This record gives sequence, C-alpha cells and structure tokens, in this order.
Amino acid sequence: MMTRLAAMLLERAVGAECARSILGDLEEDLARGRGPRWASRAAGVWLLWEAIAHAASARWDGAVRPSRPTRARRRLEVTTMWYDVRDAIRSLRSAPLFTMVALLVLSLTIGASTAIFSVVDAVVLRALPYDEPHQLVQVGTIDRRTGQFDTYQPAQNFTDWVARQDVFTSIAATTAAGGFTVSENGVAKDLAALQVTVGYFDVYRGSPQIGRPFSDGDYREHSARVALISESLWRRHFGADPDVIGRTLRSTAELRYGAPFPVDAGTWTIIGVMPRSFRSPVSGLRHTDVWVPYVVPRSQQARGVDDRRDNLEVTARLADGVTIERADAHVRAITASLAHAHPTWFGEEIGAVRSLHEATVGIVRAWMLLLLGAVGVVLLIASVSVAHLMLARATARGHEMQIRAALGASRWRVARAQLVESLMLSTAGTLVGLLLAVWGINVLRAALPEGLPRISTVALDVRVLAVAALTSVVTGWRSASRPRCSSRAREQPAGCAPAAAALPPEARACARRSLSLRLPWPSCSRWARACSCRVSSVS
Amino acid sequence: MLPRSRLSPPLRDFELVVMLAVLGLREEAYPLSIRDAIEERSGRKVSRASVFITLERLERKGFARSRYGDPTPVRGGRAKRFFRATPRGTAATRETLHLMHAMTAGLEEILG
Repeated sequence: MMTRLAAMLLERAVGAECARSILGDLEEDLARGRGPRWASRAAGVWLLWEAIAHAASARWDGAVRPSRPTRARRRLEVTTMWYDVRDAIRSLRSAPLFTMVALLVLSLTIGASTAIFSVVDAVVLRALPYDEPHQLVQVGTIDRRTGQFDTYQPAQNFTDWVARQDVFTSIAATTAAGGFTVSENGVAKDLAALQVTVGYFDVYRGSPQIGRPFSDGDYREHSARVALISESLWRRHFGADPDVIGRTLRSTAELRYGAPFPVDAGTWTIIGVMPRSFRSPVSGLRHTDVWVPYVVPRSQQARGVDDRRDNLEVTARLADGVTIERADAHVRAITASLAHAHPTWFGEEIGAVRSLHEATVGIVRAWMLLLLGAVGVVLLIASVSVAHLMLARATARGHEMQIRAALGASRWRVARAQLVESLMLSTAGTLVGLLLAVWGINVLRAALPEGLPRISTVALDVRVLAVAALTSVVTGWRSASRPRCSSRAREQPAGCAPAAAALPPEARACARRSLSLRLPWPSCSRWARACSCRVSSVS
Repeated sequence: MLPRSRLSPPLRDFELVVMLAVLGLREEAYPLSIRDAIEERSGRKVSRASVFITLERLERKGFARSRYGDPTPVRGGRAKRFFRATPRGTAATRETLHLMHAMTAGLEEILG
C-alpha cells in the first residue's frame, strides 16, 4: 500500500521511468540494511517519507518535469501490450475447458443483461421522442375513492378544459378511428388511424415533411375529408410517390369486433405525409398510419345525460414556467367548479394532470427496474464466479508468475498480463453475448404483453452497445481484481532470483520467449542452467 | 587570470562534488553509489534526495547524461539509472577546480 502510494507520488512528480529507478534505489537501500527492517511496516512508512522528500525536492527545484513518453517509449509500450495480448490468447488456448466455461458464463449473463437492458431502456428509461418532452402531460380525472386515474374522458370535459384553462400552450384530444383499409398484395389490411382535435400537432410539435398540416377549415363540420399519412404508409403503399398529395384513402363503416369505432365511410384526400420520427401514440404496439381531424359533435358539446361517451384521450403541453403540480391544481379547480354546477356528472371524480412519460410507463416501471436489478445481480454473481475461476487458475500458475518476477517483471507487468487476459475473456464474452442479446430481444418482443408501452421501439442501439461495452470492461476488471490482489509475484523461490539475475540479457529474453510459448517447465535452477548453456552455445 | 565572464564557476559546490563522484565511479555511477562515494570520502551523511536532484540539474544543464540499465531482482525488478559526465560536464568541472585553485593560491597559511 505504502509502496503503491510512494510510486504514485513519485510518478506524478518526476515521471514513471524516473520514479521506478528512485524506488529501485530505495529498495536497494532497504535490502542493504540502510533503513528499517525489510518488509516491515516501518519500511513502508520510510519508503513513503523518502518518496515525499524526492518529490518535494523535484518540485521545489523545478528541474524535473514528468517528461512525455518518447516515440520509442510509446512504441515499446505498444509492443509489450501486444505481447500481453498474444500471451493471453496462448494462455486461454492452453486451457480450453476453463476458457469455454468462463466464456459460457460471461456470454450468457452479458447477453441476458443486455437484452433486458434494451427492453428497460426503450420502455422505461428513454425520454419521449418529442421536443421538450418534460412539458407533455396527460389530462384526465381521478376517482377520489380509489385514486385511479381515468384516461378516457367525455368530449364535454375536454371542451370545458379547453375553454377555461390558462396553464397549457396547447391541449388536444384523440380517439382511435376504425374503418381505414388498404389493399396490399390483393389483401385488405386495416390501418391504425387516429382522429385528432385542433392543436394536436402543436402539443407534439410535429409537422408534415410533405404537404400541409390540418387547417382550421378542416375542423369544421361537413368540411372536405382530409388525412395525413405516416412516412411508413407512404413508402409501403404509395411507393414513396412525391405526388401523393391529392390521392385518396378509403374507409368503410363496417363495425368489427375488436376494431375501433369506424369513421364515416367514404374517401379521404391525403394532404400530407408525417416524418418517420413522428410516432404517436408512443404507447401503442402499432404506429399510427393515418391521422384525420376530429370535430366534437354538437350533441356532445353540452352536458346532457344521454350523450356521454368516454372515448377521448387528452394531452397537453405545459406553458413555460408552469409545473405539473400547478397545472394539476388548476385543472382540479376547473373540475370542482364544473362538479358544483353538474353534481351528477362527476360523482367522485376530480380533474388531474400527470406527466405523459409517467402515464406511458408508470405501470410497468417498478417491475421493469426490478427485473433489471435482478439481472444485474446475476451478472455480478457471474463475474465473481469467473473471478474465482481465474483465482484458482492464478494459484495454479503461481510458479510461472514467480519466474516472471525473477526475470525482472514488475508487479504491474504481471498484473497487467492477468488483466489483459481477463479483459480479452470478457470482451469475447460480450461479443458472443451481443449475438445472444439480438436473439433475446426478438424473443422478448414476442413474449412480452402487446400492451406494454413502447415495446415496438425495443432494439439494440448505441446506448445498449455502450452499456454492453461498459459491462465488458467492468466484468473484466472485476474478474481480474481478485487474482491480481492475491498474486504474490514478488515472492520468489529461494535461489531462483540470483540464478535468473545472473543470466545475460539474451538468456532472459530466451526465458521470456519460453514463457510466452508455454514450454514445459523444469525446476528453476535446471532451467536457468539449460538457458545459460543454450545462450553460450549460440554465442 | 580568468576572463571576467568566466568568474562565476559553472558548477556550484555540491554539483562539483557530485560531478567528481560521477567521474570517479565511471560506468558504475548511479544515485546510490554516488551517495556512498561522497559519504565515504567526506565522512558526512548525504541525503538521497539531494543527490538525485543535483544529478537531475546537472543533466538539465547538459553536464551529465543518464541511461537506464537492466532491471535487477534486488531492486524489485527496477532498473538502475546510470549517469556519466558529458565532455561539457568534464570541462565545467575542470574550470571550477581551476578557479578554486587560482583563488586558493597563496592562502595555504590561512586555510591550512
């Protein structure tokens, strides 16, 4: 600990190479008895004190600045890193059972966690795909007895909120529209259509990429039937025809089980194409293909008892500086005054405002995050398991590490070799895991309930890849940390260090090569003799 | 008499001592051996840090040059940093010593 601290301090003051030589001087002094007893606690303190003295002198004198690594030095570092990578590959190939087990554990857990993260990210974590999404809210009512939020509202409530509110820059209502069909390959297919009131595109800040948005004239009763279509439908059915404006869509008034209430039968003139980025509503499994204007019928503008249909979803955009709490209080006040005038209409219901993001993902947030946490724990357990495997392996390779240290490898170099091996294992695990994740995402999309919000947007994207890469590095680091902490590379077998130190540089290079090639190991002294003989015979 | 511009010695007192040790140790001059040599000759304790910083200064001035040797186990696998005097360093040492001799000439009675 003290040595590491001293090394860190010196490296900052005088640069890495110079720091190593100073630490070498200090250790040599300790070994020669010019300081406290070797390996005692006092020796650590002494080492740190001397390092502080050196660093302070260097700073005070101003003579030494940590030098930038030279080109040759950088090249050497790259080369030694390449040696580590090569050794790691050879080492992993030499233990196929260990490699297979570790790879299997890592790829399964990384694959599972990446797939789950993809779903949680798309469904819960990601912001709504609109401009300033925090301003988007859903307006509805809450049952005072149960606290249940009621999304679907009658047109009468919507009309009164529009007339009396002053906290929203825009407010709009939507309701599903049935009856739109197109013929694709001779088969009639239903289109997902939405009827929208004035202000809908202001709330979501969307505008057509081709053509024009709805005008005030389109929202008059008995006006010409017009429609906006999605970019997807434009490509799919109209072949991305730039002259699509003016072409028509057909709707039928057939009431079918499970389909939304149909709009009037007839033809609708296309006036524009919405861009691919505009997706509404965000919670549906299918994206909307057609938008048509919705005009509140006269019969639903007054609060009669017989003509109440709770079929509108109301969304709004908060004015600048207005909080959700203030908007909620405002809508509550409006509803309270309406309830006072029409007590039988509201009953126990009171107006309420909630964030659109919360409305979209609130139901599933808790269990989704729980799932993510569970997968995270499994990943942690897996990385600890792999760490234990590597620990067992490091113990078995203790002799090799001791020889490396005897040949002059620093503790960092030995630790780096293990780290590289571990990172390579986790990187390979991540790559295999990503393939599994792609498959897992498809399985999850098919298996999860259709009503799950934003399920159609689940995909393997840059965020997910970044998380997978981070997982890889953390797992690799975690797996390597235990063996690294426990490696006792500095403890050399008796007689080995002097024998190795006595070898000429060529012999040490030969030994390093033998290490990297994983040649069978004789005892240390026999090996040293053999190496010396080999070098002398060569020279 | 030395030229006016050369009156200030190129080496300070401890720099001169360290340079003399480097010259004396030849190929074996590294901070510990330099310190040991100074302590042995002078009989006074010298700190490692002062030797180190003086060597750094000498290298910066171009009077010495350093290289790293092979790592050794007794030093925890770390290399020694060997110093040797450059021709400029040798000349500076010679000049400083010459100045001292010139200034001490005739003072033997006082200095002993």
